[in-house]
Amino acid sequence: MQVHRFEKVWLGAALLLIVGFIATIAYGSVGVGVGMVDDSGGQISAEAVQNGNTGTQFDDPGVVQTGEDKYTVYVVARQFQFVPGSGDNPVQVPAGANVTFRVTSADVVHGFSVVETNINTMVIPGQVSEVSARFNEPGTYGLICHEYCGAAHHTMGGSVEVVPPEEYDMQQENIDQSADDAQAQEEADQ
Amino acid sequence: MVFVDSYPKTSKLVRSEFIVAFAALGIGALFGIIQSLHRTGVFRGFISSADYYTILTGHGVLLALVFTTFFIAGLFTWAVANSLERELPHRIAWSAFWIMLTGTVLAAVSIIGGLVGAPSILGHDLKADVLFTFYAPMKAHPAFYIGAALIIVGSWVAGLAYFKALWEWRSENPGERIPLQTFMVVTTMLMWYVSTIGVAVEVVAFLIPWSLGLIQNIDPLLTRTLFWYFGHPVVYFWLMPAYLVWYTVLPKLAGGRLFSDPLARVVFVAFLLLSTPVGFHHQYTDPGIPSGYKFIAMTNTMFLLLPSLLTAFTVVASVEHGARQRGAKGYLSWLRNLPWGKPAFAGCMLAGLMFAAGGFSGMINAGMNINYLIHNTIWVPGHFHLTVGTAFALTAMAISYWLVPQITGKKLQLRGLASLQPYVWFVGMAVMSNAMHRAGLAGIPRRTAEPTYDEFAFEGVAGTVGEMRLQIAIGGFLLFVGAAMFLIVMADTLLARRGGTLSVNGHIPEPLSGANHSPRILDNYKLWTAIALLLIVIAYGPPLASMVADGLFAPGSPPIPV
Amino acid sequence: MALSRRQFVGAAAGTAALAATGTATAQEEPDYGGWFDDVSNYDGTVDKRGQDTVTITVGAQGNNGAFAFDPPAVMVSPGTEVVWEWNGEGGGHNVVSDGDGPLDSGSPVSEAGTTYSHTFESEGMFKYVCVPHETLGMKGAVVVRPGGSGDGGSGGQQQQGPPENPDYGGWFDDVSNYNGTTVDRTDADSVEISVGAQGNNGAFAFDPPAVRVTPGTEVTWTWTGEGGGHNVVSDGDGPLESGDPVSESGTTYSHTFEEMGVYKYVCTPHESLGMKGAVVVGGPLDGSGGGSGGESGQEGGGIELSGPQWLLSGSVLLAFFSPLLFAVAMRRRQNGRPPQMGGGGELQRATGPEPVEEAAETEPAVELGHDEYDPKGTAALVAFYFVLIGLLWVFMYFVEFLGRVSIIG
Repeated sequence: MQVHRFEKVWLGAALLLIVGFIATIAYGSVGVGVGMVDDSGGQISAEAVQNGNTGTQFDDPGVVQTGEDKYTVYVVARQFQFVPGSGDNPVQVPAGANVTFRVTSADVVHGFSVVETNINTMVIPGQVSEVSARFNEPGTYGLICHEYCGAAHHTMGGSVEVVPPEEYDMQQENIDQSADDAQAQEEADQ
Repeated sequence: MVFVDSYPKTSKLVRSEFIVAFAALGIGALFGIIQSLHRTGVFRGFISSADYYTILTGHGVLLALVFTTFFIAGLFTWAVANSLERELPHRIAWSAFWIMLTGTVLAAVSIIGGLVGAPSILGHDLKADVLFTFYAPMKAHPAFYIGAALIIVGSWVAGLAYFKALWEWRSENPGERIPLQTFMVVTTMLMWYVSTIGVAVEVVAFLIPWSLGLIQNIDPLLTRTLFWYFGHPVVYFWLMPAYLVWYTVLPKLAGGRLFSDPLARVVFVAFLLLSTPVGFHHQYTDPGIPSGYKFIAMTNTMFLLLPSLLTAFTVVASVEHGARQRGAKGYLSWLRNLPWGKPAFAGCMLAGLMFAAGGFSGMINAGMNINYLIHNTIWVPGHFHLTVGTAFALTAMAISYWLVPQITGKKLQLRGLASLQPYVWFVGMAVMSNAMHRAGLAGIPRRTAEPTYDEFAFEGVAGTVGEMRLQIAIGGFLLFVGAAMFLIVMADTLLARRGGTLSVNGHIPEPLSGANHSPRILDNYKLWTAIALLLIVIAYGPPLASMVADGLFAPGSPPIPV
Repeated sequence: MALSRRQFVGAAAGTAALAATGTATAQEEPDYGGWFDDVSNYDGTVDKRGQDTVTITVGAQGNNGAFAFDPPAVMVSPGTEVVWEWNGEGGGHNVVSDGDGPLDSGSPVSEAGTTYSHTFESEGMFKYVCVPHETLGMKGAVVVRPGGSGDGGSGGQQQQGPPENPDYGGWFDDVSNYNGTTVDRTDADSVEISVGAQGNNGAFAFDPPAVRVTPGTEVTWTWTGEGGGHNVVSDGDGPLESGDPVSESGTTYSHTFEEMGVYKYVCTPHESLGMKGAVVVGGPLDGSGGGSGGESGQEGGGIELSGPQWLLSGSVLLAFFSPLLFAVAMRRRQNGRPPQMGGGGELQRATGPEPVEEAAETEPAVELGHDEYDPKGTAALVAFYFVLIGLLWVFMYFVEFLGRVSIIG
């Protein structure tokens, strides 16, 4: 079979391009340490998530501290909100810490994407998506469901607030403090 | 002699398939302009945001499933009859048409039901707001799934007609190389058979019984995986016919000859082998799938770039040959020595140019971890409007200008409009798609009726969000105008009076490097099909096995009606 | 925010609608301030006073799915226990007060049979939502009010004054925006009618054209500023006389009706066009079958189309047929001209299709064979493409992608 020499050169160049792409991706993965969503999150019963009786932290979703500088955020995605995340219940995590999101769905397939980052995963009922990241800069990031999930899909959003570490602990304390105050007030009233 | 007079029965079939395709194009285009005005906030008066998803489902199914399948059926019917110089087996080919049409009507009615109050038919609400990908556990009316299944089955039957014609030809012409166009049709159909296994299993074994209530739960991850087993090769089902046009007809339109027949065969065999074992690149962000399988899919996908890059060279070289035969000199000025005023030529060239851009955004999509940058953002529709929306659709429109006169015996009408149309489409797509890519980098999601959220605001990466939205609306409008221009020309031509002298002819010159220069083994499609199946078993066997290891229907989800 | 189809159809189809009118109950309909504008299954307040326990279904059909409370608006006596009962459909729901309020059933749950109850002691209006589906319209309200339906609830109230839909004797025959019903505003102290609303081939209508009020109600006509000069003048003898026609937007004219009766009136310059109206003064109407244009007709089984959807369906059909229509129009214009015959001869065929020929094959100016051709231009172009792709890839990967927070495990 005759191949014109120009085309042979182009074939070589094309292969070079392809290998270059694969190499960059491998570098990103092994060298820089960029991770992927995989099956490490395990499986779960979607119906149990729906009813809130999985026997796991998904029954009371929110941020849990799991180590010195490690936090895990349990998020339940449902039609049409993230719990926590949506409305005036944003996800709050401290800057610089290793934050692991464990996300699952109570009903249909959703998406979980933190805007302006590469934290991007599908949320499939029956599966738990586990992604870890470190937010170095404080700020507020948007949170989106980017997989069509029903008639009000376009309303399903939220936010992730990354707080400076000093303020974070204080916020926790403040919340507890005001809860104590309210309780004391109630008891005084009775 | 004009094709319609040499093969009148086949011409009738091609005409019917084209007419259904054009009707689907028209309605799909109307839905498209409604969408682009609605989601950018420019005009939301046509529909409510909840109905947006009905329209979006209609747009995807009518354009990416009905328009494509019917047009390709027509094109392939012509290509086989033309290259084998015989009429197609009548009964099989027409059965295919009617099966596909029945499926189309069923699916379309179930989708439109969502716009008119979803009346209850046979115990289920008649709606199918599940989008082109119909992910479980969202559930549409059973008619939708049955309709989709029939469209696929009809296309299988259509393939049988092509194979029967080939076998009859082979028994009459033993030892001869398969003519290039038929070779391309055969390899595409084999790739199609291999790739539709996934979606056929998904729909017939799982979704139809589940939507009828015969099965309680299904595993959403499994059904998704079966869909994407099909969902990537389907784009090659759209692309390979476009390549057929670029390889076999475009050189002649340019006034030249195909640069290399053997390389064209190699490219098509490569697609047969590699199109399917790459489906996981649509599931890079899926939980429940180990990264190893994703990595294999990534390397396969990267190698799948090769046939397209080779095509770029061969096709451009063939067009350059045409320019040189017109007397052009110089490294780049030959580009001017080409018939840019002829709509068939201009459309194919602009489609190819746009595909070069779409190919790049596809490389980003394929890049495993870099995919996370743009997954499910509006970058993705930006990408596929360049590929299926232009490389396929504009080529289809362009080749129609050349082919429809030959299958009807009528001169192309409204030539001015026709000559302008490819440019309108190109500009509209360039405007819309570049804005979609940039908006995707800003994080704006796809498949969303109102991409503004209470909790935060998007920030543009290059340009403001408002300006991107406006470009999407303007581009979408231009595309709608382009589609309308095409349909008007087609309608006028189809209704014109027959006769006179056409301005086109069907003569296709011999390639510069002909079939006799290509190894015979390329024609051994049984071998290539076997290898393709083996590659699929390697890529999909282990992951599917582990998904069904804990039960076919576990972890299960019940249907959630949309 | 999207209005459901039912809401659209229910709101006085065909005319410039006022806010949704619900069915009036035995007592006056509370003013929810637009709370139920996006609640598709809202159909007036159900009066359940006098019962000890009242049940509300959570997950009833509505709002494009099972995203509704049924009944969404209920009136109860103080001391009533309201029990919300989940029917298992529509995913996870909860019952949470809007703003400050006593209702909070907790995180959304979906299991059928779940219940949540609250006993309402104090009077007032208690609005609540299902938090994940609030935007879809899953809202409700409990109105706690003394008094009651002890005297029979629906159907017992005597009607006073003119009947619900009086016989206008053909008065509205030429009024295009009259839809056959008399809008029931007997719950309101003051009622507004717009002058110069769309109708009768222009801005020549009163909206609503027929309205029912209770004695002592002040009716205020407000000019839209459209349709030229209008006035409000009683037909024959009658109290209404706004003066010479005026056109300025914002002009008002009011009259308080004390006596029961049917008061027909016109806009003098546009009377012949159909700019007419009527005010029916009578007692409040009872609940069953009530009102006036509030019912939206079939449930689910039939085909419902609102204004925008007629627009959409019409556009689809038009788009489908327009190329054909256009082509037919073109064909008619060209019908005189016969197609040109190639070559010599004017052979007429008795039967069979018109003969047609292909274009002649053109010879190339310069013939280049396989060995004479080197695609230099192509080489230049693909080399350029190679460099471009390489640069773009590097930029996208190292600048855009790695420049953002990434998953690390």
